Amino acid sequence: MSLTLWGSYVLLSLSSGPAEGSPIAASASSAGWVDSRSAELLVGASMALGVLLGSPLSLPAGRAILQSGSLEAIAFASAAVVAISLVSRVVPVSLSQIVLSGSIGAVLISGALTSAMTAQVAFWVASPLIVFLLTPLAHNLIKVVLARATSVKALDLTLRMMVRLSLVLLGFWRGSNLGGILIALIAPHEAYWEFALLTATLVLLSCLCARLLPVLRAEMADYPDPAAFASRSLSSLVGVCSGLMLGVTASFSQLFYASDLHFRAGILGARPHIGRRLLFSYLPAVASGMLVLLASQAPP
Amino acid sequence: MEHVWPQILELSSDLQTAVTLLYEAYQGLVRGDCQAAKGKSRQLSELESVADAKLKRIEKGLLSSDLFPTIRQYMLEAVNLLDDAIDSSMEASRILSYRCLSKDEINGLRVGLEPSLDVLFSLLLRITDDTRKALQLASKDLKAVRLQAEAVETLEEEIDRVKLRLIEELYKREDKLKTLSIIQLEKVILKADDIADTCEDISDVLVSIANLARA
Repeated sequence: MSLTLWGSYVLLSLSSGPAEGSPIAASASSAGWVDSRSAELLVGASMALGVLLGSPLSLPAGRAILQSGSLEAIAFASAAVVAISLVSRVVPVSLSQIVLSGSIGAVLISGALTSAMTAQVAFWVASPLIVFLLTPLAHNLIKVVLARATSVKALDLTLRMMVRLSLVLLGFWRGSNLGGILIALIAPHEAYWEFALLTATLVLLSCLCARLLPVLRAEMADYPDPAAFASRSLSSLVGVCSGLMLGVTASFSQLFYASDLHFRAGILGARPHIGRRLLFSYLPAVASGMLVLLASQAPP
Repeated sequence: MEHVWPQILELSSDLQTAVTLLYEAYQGLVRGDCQAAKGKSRQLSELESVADAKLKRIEKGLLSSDLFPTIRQYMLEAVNLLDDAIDSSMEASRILSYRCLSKDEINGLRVGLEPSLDVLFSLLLRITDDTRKALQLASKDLKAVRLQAEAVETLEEEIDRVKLRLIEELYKREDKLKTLSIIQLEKVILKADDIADTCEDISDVLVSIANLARA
């Protein structure tokens, strides 16, 4: 196995803490619903569990990316994102999303549109719609659950459970999403469990490092209402899982992020850093797509 | 949470005791029994010291509990407001005990002013009782907290009206009361209004907790 491959794998695994886990933990802890240490530990542990148990579902998507020959893009894009996260402390998009959008973009531009990619692109468009429809429903459902709390004690228990469950769910699917791509990168066809365990360990370690080193912590939009946070988590999980069940991508899309901003600001009352988020979500994706394009045009 | 809640309710009962002592101090003053007013004021000062110690214990308990942070913040706000109201009661009783009224002044008060002052204190006793009930309900029935908070708000508005009427009456009696006596009584009336405002703030905090549940 080449050194570049191992380098990319380790880089992606270790950047998962600040890039994938920390924004989730930051959303909950910045609002004061849970202390940042336990939030990051909870997200780290559930991400590691997601890598171990959920990766098989996103493995096909990971293999599809690798088959499109975008290893160089993965390395470049993740290095760029890690650098950005260290300097700006803002990482609004998942690494796998950047890689995936770059990969899909390269395939589309080169004209080699396979049926697998068609399914991915279809889901790329469908996922925001699923989440759009589910978020208000989940929000109402959570409001009904909260309204059943008749005392301060019951309310306290419900709110704590709701926020912790959201962190676990979000961490789990982030881990599942990332794990498939990472394991496909290092071991596309064999020794799944060994590499799943290694990846889970690296992901957990990187989350713990992000917890210990404040400079690695990313800042995200903060929700004033825990019910909005929970409904967003729940609908995202359902949206992503519906894709995983079909064997297509587990990643968010740029389109999703655009709608996400609208959702957070307009419906759920959050205060997203719109300018920064657009800058840091679109630019890396466009850059990675161009890198893949350049890589695909280079002579073998 | 279980061990903190009874202490919070105890603090709300202390507020009611404080307002009762304040009323008794006022009654001592208008009876011309200055020693009684001073005695009640001393009792209230002791109660305030005990309440301060209780507040510290409650704050420690709340901060060390694993309550949902938003709820913990509201609870801390509510207990601090309770303590503020007890402090205001103590300050009002001290103002009452600083100087006595002459017999002529007491007679001057009896016509029109004293019944209104009695109304003010009875409303104050009611609002503190309703606030205690609202706190009790929060541990059992969040929906009922809203109704109780509405009752507290109505009482606070009533106390506002009585306060303004009293101050107007007080200023009209400059021929029967010494200027210092007018200032003394005005300060007590305003302190009583502060207590009522604080009770309303406590019920608002409880409504904010109930709003979390959309009850």
